[in-house]
Parts: sequence; structure tokens; C-alpha cells
Amino acid sequence: MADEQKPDKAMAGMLKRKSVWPHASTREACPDAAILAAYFDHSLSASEISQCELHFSACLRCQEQLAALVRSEPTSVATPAVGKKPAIAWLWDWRWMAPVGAAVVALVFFVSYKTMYAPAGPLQGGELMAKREAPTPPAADEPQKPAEPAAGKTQAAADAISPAKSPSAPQRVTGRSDLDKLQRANEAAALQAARAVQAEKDKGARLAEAASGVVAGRLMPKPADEEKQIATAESRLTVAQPQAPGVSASIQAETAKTQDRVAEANRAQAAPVQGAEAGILGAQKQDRAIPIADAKEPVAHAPAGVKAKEQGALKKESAVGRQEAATGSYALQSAPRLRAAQGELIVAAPNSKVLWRFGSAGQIERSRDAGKTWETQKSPAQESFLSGSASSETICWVGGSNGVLLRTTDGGENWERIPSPTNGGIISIKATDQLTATLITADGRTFETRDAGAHWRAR
Amino acid sequence: MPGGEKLLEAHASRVDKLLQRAQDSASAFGGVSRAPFIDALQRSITSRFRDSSPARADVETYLDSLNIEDLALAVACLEASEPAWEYFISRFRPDLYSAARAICRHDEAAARELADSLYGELFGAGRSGQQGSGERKSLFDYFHGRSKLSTWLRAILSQRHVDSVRASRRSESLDDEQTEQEVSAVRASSVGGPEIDPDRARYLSLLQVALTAALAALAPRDRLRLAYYYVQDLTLAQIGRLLSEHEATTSRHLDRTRRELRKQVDAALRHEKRLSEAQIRLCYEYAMEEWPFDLTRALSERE
Repeated sequence: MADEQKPDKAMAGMLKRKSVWPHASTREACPDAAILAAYFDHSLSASEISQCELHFSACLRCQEQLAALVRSEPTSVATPAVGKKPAIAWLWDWRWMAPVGAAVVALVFFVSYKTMYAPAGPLQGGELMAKREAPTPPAADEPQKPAEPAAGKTQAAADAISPAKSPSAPQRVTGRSDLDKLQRANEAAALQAARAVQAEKDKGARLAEAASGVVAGRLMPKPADEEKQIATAESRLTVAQPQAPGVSASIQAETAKTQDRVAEANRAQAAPVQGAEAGILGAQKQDRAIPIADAKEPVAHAPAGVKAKEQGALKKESAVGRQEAATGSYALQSAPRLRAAQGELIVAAPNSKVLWRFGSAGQIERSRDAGKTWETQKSPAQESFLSGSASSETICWVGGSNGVLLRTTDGGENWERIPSPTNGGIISIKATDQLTATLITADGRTFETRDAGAHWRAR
Repeated sequence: MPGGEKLLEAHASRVDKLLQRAQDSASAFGGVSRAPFIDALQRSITSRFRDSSPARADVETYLDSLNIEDLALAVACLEASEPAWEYFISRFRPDLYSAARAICRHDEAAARELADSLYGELFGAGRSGQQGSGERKSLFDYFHGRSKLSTWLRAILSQRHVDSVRASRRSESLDDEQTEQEVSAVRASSVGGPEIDPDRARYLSLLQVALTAALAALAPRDRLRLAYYYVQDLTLAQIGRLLSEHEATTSRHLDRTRRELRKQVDAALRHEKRLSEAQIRLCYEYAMEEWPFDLTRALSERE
């Protein structure tokens, strides 16, 4: 019973009553001082101790002698009695240290377990890598820092995503705080990108009006800061991903090609977009490559008068981007979302030489040798692909315009359509495994599925 | 008990070793003679195995357990060795006064008197120092080496002090305490008041009887623990020191003993005295208000 464990106050109170007069002791002879001292020193035999205690338990005189003896002990005079610990001795008392120690150990295990086996999210530390390429000596006549404010802003945006800015070789982001930062940066970038896309749609409509002469004389030049904002947002969309061994070289080659094409495109003064569908899709449709290193994506085409200045800035930015790539400064590379030339999307399987290349009209190709050779795969879609993610050599998810969402679980031998949570574009996707993926739509919403698209949960 | 000499003859080699140890330790105070030391060993063995015929191994174990160094000093002092006495005084005098102060509750004058009287007896000039034949008898004759010399000295001080206090209590009235008659009068008046439950005295009497029986049924060690705690007002640490247990163990045993007592008292009142739960509850309530019970007497009067 619980009551039995409580101190019995009634019994304790009753026992406290005692006489102040000496009572007669037992008739037995009390032990002499030698026996008393030997009992106190615990040098008696067990039988002698029993005999003594039997006598002491009934002999008030011996009890008093023993009480006086223990009070006279040097340790009880100068310090607390034997068995009494110093004031801070409780710190080392196992009775409370044992459970506290066990709790600490359990907490450490729990934290370790949570860190090692954290549930898969859209951006996982194990799959994120902010890569700083090996530094190479810069050209003597080339400046280290970008001169243009826009380029500086792009660098700042890249730095905001970059978890660390140490000059050491590839750093893996494993801390939860870093993951959270990247998560937030990714979501903010997606939202900003969606706004930028919407702004571009409006702008495209206005440009279309201008081109058709409906609003002749009311041309609205694209503000420079708006361009920069869009470019920054797009730069943030490029999130670092692990690269397969051997893939880096091919990606660098693709990057260089892309940058060259940007320069050519700038010189060619691309024609204005004829529809309201501008932005990323427009850029892809116009075969306008997007530089990766400086993450600049020209998302719209302004009239010739306005474009002249913008092209100048873009050239500078492209040059800065090439310079940064060449000098090995921060370059956030997104292997799964690499946008290669001709509006293609390249997705790399982690830790592998397997690449997928998605064309702008639904074409799918796969390379098993880091891009040296490509084989065409059967695609069930004709839409353009905007983003993709491979969680292994056999599992790949890819999303595109009109909400198209494909998945393969056998290395691309079979691509299947996955029910999509949106009819708009899928601008970012992160596959964790064949069942779990997280995507961001063009309107800024984030969805997650854990059952291969059967159910989507907005986040 | 056969003669100690015969025993020692059977353990000659062991005795030689002990003597060698004694000589080694006695170098600090001038050494110790062989014959007095062997006499002391004989007295010690005789005291220990007074009523039995010990086995050889028991004797050797006993001899090995003796505090030979302290016994050698006692023997040397008994032989009136001046260096031994100087050594004894320089080594034990401060502790002896300190212990006397603790025993006398820091009454400096009483402590000094107690310690000085002990010196006299140790030298053989006190109450035990003179025998009928006129031969000087020292207290050191009663030290057998079973404990440390310092503990033995404190035990003697404690005995002297307790006997002195008990004698004074018997002969002197206690001004600050009620006399037994006064207590009885208070009990009678409180028990017999007109506004009090007429069964109150009966309930208290039944409770006393049940508690006394429960106390008598306790194991000696439990009774001793209760006595140390409630009668002698020792701390848990001091009780643990006396009973060779940790103070936490002492506390746990005290709790267990109290619960056991409560259980036995309840059972006695319920089954033997046929009291109801309400009546038992009343017993405890009355006891908490006024409780004519003497734990000292209950613990001392063992059946």
C-alpha cells in the first residue's frame, strides 16, 4: 500500500516520548570498557557482537556509554560523524548520479539517432553539397570581384545559399541548422521565382501588346532592378546537389558551352516573346541557355532600345560568371537540375556516372558513362521538363510544364506518369526514394508524397 | 579455560613474532620487556577465552587481531617506564582532553576533571589504583589490546561520565524537569477531565500495552537503533557508526521498524483488543494529544 511507504508520524511522535530519569539496567553484568571499546572498533567476533547488542538493546547504561563514546570520537568532534560526507559529497552520490547519467546517455543516443536517421525532406543534408572548386590562380589582368552590382547581388544570393565559405574542398552540409537554412532559402527562392514568373507573364503580355501596336507609344521598358530581382531569384533556384564521380567534368563542359551560347544569344538580340508565356519556359522555348556558374537567366525580351543596356550588363555578368567558374570561386552547381543547351535538363544520379537528359518536347535520354554516350528512352510525355531528381541509378523523378510528372524505378526502361498535385509547372523536385518526393510548383506551393503520388500533402 | 601460559607455549613462534613487532614499535618509547609483554598476552587470552577451550587457529587469529603496538605501550607504561609515559602523554593527552570535552558537552571544568582523574587511575593512584595488599594497580592492567588504546581510553571516560551522571540524577532533583509525581498528576487530570471521552484512558492504556508488546518483539538490533535515535538522540551517522552501517541504511531501518510497529500495534488492537477502525483511529488521536508512554522504560524492560 502507498500509505505504508509514508513516514508514520503518529508512531514517530509516540516513540519520541521518553523518560528523563535513569532506569535500572538489566541484571546482567555490563561489558567492561575493553569490550565496549572493542565493540566500537568492530574487532569483536560475530557471536560477541550479537551478545553485546542483545545486552545493549536492554541496557540504558551501556547505551549511554556508547552514545558518549561515539560523541567523543575525534571525527565527530572536529567533523561530522563517521559516515557523514562533506558538504559537496552529494555531488558524487551515485544515487542521483546514476539516473542523471543514464538520462544524459539516453539523450545523447536520441540526438545521435535523430541526426543520423532524420526523416527525408526536400533538401537533405546528405544530398546537399555546396561545392567550392579547387582554387586556381586568377588571370593577372582580370579582377577578382565582379564590377557590376547585379553580379555582386548574384554572388550575394549564392553566398546566402552557400552553407560555408571556407576555401576547403567540397563540404558536405550535415548540420540541422544548415539544412534548415537551406530549406528556408529554397522555399523563399521558390516563392520569389513564382513571383518573378508572374511578373514576367504580365510583362510578356505588355510586350506582346507593344509588339502588336495595340499600345503603341506606351512601351514600358523593363526596369533594371526588376531584371536583377528575377535573376537573383533564379540564381537561388540552383541548389547544390551531390555530383557523381566523373560527372563534374562533363558538367563543366556543358557549363562552358552554355555560357558561350549565352554570349551568342546576347549578340543575336533575340526577338521579343510573342506570347504571355515568358520566364523560364519562354527562355527554354527560345533556346536560350542559362548560365550556371553565375546563375543568370534572361527571362524576358525587352524591346531593342531597352535591351541594349541590358545586354551590356548581361555580357558583363556572363563574363563574370565565366571568370568565377574559371577562378574556382563559389559556384553552386545543381547537377540534377542542370540546364544544358537547347533547353535540356540534365539529372545526375548520386554517386554514379548515370545521367538523364530531358529535352524540351518530352525527350528522355540516358547516359551510363557520364555523358559520353546517350541512349534514347521511351517517354510518355511531350511537355517540357523543368526539374528532375534522381535518388539512385534506377530511381528518377522529373516534372515539367502542365503539371507533368514522371517517374522511373528501373533506370528509365519504363517511365510512368505520376498523379500530379498541380496543372502548372513543376519548377523543383526532390526525390528521396521511389515513393517519397517533394516538389515546388510554379505558383510557389510545396507538395510532398510518400506513396508515389497517390496522395499529396501541401507543406 | 586452561592457563594462558600453556596456550602461549603452544604458540611460541607466533608470540615471538608479536614480541618482535612490539619491540619494533616500542623503539619510540624505550622498548618493552619480554616477560611483562607475555604476561599481558596471557591476560588478554584469558579474558577472551574465559569460558571455552579455543582451537589453535582461533588463538592465532585472536593474537593476530590484537593491537600489538598499543599493547606494547600499555605494558611499558604499566612497568612505569618514564619514556613510555612521556610518549603516552604527548600522544594521547590532547585527544583525551578533547574527548572529555565532547563527553561532558563542552563543560571545560568537568572535562578536565574527568581526564585528570583518568590519568591518576592509569598511573595506579586512583580508585582502582590501590589494592588490598597495598600493591599499585593500574588501569592499564585491563587493556588487552582488543581495541585501539585511544578507543579504550575514551570508553573508560564514557563509563566514568555516565556513571557519574546517573548517580547524580538519582540523588538530585531536576529543577527544569517535572517530577514523576507531577507528571502523574498531569496525566490523571488530563485523562480524567469531564469534557474528555470516558474511553480515552482505556484507549491510551490499550495502545501502551500493544506498543510495549510490539517493542519487546523487535529484534535487538532494531530496539537498539530505536534507543539510539529516540532515547540517546544520536544522529543517523552516529548510529550508523555504532552499528556498522551507512546512515541511509539506518534511516531505512528506522522507517521499516516504525512501520512494523504500527502494523503490529494495529493488529493487536484490532484482533486482540477487538477495537474497530474508528476506535483505533481514536487511540492514535488521543496519543498524539497526550501520551503517557515512556519509551526508555519500554526499551529497557525486556521480557
